Parts: sequence; C-alpha cells; structure tokens
Amino acid sequence: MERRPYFVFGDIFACVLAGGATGWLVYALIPGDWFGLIAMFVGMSIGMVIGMLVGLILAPFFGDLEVMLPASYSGMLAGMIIGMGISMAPAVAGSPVGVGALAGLFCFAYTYILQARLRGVVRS
Amino acid sequence: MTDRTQQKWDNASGTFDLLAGYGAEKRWRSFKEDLFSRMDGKILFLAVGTGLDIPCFPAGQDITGIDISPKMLEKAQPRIAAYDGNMTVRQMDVHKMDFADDTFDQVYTSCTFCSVPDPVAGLTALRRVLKPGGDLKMFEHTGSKHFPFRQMLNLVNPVMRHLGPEVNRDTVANVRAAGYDDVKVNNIFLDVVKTIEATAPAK
Repeated sequence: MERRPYFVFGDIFACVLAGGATGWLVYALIPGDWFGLIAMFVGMSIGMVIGMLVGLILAPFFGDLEVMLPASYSGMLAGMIIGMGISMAPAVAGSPVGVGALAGLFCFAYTYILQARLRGVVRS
Repeated sequence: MTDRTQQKWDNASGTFDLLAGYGAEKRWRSFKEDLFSRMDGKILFLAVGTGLDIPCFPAGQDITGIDISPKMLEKAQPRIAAYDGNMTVRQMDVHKMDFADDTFDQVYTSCTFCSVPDPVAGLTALRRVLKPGGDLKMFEHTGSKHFPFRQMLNLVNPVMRHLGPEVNRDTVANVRAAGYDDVKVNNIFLDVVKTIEATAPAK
C-alpha cells in the first residue's frame, strides 16, 4: 500500500476531484425527467470521461495507472449515483459535488484495500 | 506492422517524458532499482525509449539496448551518455532481431509488452537470444482480474491502443505461452503494475 504522503495526497485529490467534478457536470447536464436507468448510464459515461481527463492531467505529477484507474472509477461511480439520484432520489442529488466527492473517497478506499490484498508475490 | 508501430512511438517521443517522466518514474523508481539491481552478465534491454530507466541501472554493466523508434533513441542519447558503464543502443524491432542465438545472459523490459504488436512472438524471439537458463526480468503493466478495473481496462483498450500502449494484456500468460520456466510475479499496484521474472528453458 502506498504510504508516501505526497502520493497518498495525490490519490485522494484525484479521486475527490474526479467524483466532485462529475457530480457537478452530471447534475448540470441531465434533466430530472429522464428515466433513471438511462440517466445512470449517461452519468456513468460522463463520469468515465471526466475521470480519465482528471487522471491524464494529474498523472505527470502523481503517477500513471495509480492515478488514472481510481480517478476513472470515481468518475463512473459518481456519475452513476448522481445520474440515478436526479430522477429517483432528488435529495441525494441535492449536493452533487459533495456526493460525487464522497463517491471519490469510497473509490480511493476501495482501491487501497484491494491493493493491500493483492500486493506482493502471488505465484511462483 | 513495424512501420505503424515505429510511427506511433516516433510521434509519442515528443511528449513521452512529460507524461511518464515524473510521477510514474518517481512512484516506480524503487521497484525498478530493485529489479535492475540483479543485472549481471551480458544484458539486452528491450525498448529503451527516451532512456527514463537508465538512471535506475546499476553502474558498470554491459548493456545492449534496442528500440523500434529512432526518435525515442535520439531523445535517450544524453541519458545513455551519462550511464556509468558500457551501454550501446540500436534501432531494432523485437520481431526482427539480428542477434545470434544464445547471445545474452539476461533480458530486461520496462513497460514494453503492452506495446509489442505480437507479444508471444516477441517473447519467443527474446527466448531465442537468451542463453539457456538465462533470465527474463520485466517491469510491466497488464490487465486486471478484479472488478471494476478489469472491465474499465477492457473498455478503454480500443482507444488506448491507438494512442500508445494496450492496457488489458495478460503478459504473464504470454510469458508462459512463449515457453519460459519458473515464472514469478510480484504485484506492485493492484494486479496491474508488476514485475515478472522467468527463466529460458534448457535447449
């Protein structure tokens, strides 16, 4: 698991930024009267693009796949939640940036937990 | 295939250090230094690129580097010149290497087999130039077996392969398919960034 503060900060920042930016953009773009499932998939697609862009922009500073993968995951999850929330649970989508950022934090934690489980020699 | 691959990496040479030169190298440096610290004997380093890995090499080694892109090798020249050891480079496609059989004691790669057009053929070609019992040591990124990263890497791969590397290859399986023995994998980031060590079988 990454323990160097500079990279841990970069990982958190990338995930929160990707999630928050996606939440804001999805909330701004998707109308409230869309069918929930469609809004969810459109939100997820927007989130993936935003997450990849955030990953590409931050990769030169904080790492390569270590930044791009969690950031893309954060964007996708935030887009799904906000997209679905707009039509199915407007209260959740009421603070899209905050909900998106929380989704980003979840993705950061998920990645670190999975990383702790996978790291090391796996077969020989 | 060679021309297209060469063109792709010639085009990437201008921005390669910007995208890969700080964050990734700083993050990966200790793992690369650990892998490269095992350099011994006559060494082939595949895909020198702009030479980002050269500062991680231990001093005093006898290294032959190859790369398909002449523009990448141009960019690598200052790092090659600064290396404290014997390092020569040639522009060469791994699929068409003109080295004699059993030339090298070790072959090293670094983020290479995401880009070699036919990875199993490339690894088989490396096995030809490795002495029996010689070491293959790789620092690579591959696809993942874990949700959601497996799905994400599969989804973006058709786009990524046109811009640079493929991101969903099973390089460990390719090493086995190319006939290497004693394959050992060490995961560095998830099951995506890893070192792979294997041995060329006796002939």
